[in-house]
Amino acid sequence: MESRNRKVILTVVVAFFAAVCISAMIPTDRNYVEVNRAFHGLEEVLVNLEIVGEDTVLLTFQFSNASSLELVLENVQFNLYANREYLGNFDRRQKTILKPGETIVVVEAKIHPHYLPRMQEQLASSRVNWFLYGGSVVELPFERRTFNLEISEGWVST
Amino acid sequence: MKTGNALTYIWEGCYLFLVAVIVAYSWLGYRLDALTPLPMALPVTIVVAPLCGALVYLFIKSMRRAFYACIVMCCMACLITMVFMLRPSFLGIGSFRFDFWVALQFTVLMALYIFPFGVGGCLSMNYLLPE
Repeated sequence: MESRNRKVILTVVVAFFAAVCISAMIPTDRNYVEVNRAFHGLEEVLVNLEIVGEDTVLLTFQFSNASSLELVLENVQFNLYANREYLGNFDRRQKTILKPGETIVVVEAKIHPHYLPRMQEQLASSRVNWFLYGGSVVELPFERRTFNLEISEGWVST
Repeated sequence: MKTGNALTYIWEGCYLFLVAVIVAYSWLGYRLDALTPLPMALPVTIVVAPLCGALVYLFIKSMRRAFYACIVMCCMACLITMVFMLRPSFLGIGSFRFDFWVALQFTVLMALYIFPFGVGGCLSMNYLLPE
């Protein structure tokens, strides 16, 4: 009888702590699934490339956030090439909230005077194959944890 | 008599599962501290596994059976962690292969820590409170 009472008391104590753990595990699981959805499901596409004035290229990116979390785009940085000619490294350090769904981000790439003749030369040709390669830093809404998203995009302007 | 034995085994199985949940959460709460509402500090995580081993011994009160029960409990805890880590894959998020290796790494690290600590707790309790 004593052994049975001991077992009942132990079971009640363990069940209480297990219930606490399960109740903490449920939101943890939800957050973990959403973090994975954000990590694997966040996509970035170059949707427009526009030349403004003599020395500026406006690049429009569309970020698709598949998770239900509000992510923060901390930085976008890439190398820009026109017909394989390097035109410089550009970044945008302004923080942007990526809400669930799609968000448009415009990056202004002001070409350095050193590379300007190179770009003018390429623009004079009938077709320009633009290529950009880099990455962006995205922050999760948990203790400022970040992950990187690779950017590798092409665009053709005629 | 046989029904009584079966009920005892079921009771023990449920008890081990509940203890395994606590051990699994102690590791998950420590490693995924940013995602959980109840984060675990490292000292708490270190204490939980031997404590749970001791609880297994106190329930069974037979060293030989408690030792094997402790091994089963640790395996259950590893399984719970593995399933938890693979949940996104089961929901079709990301690649199963990538998630499997992440989950395996996570679980092996946990196993390296909970098996010796859990069994150690069980043996220590046997020393303090013999059968």
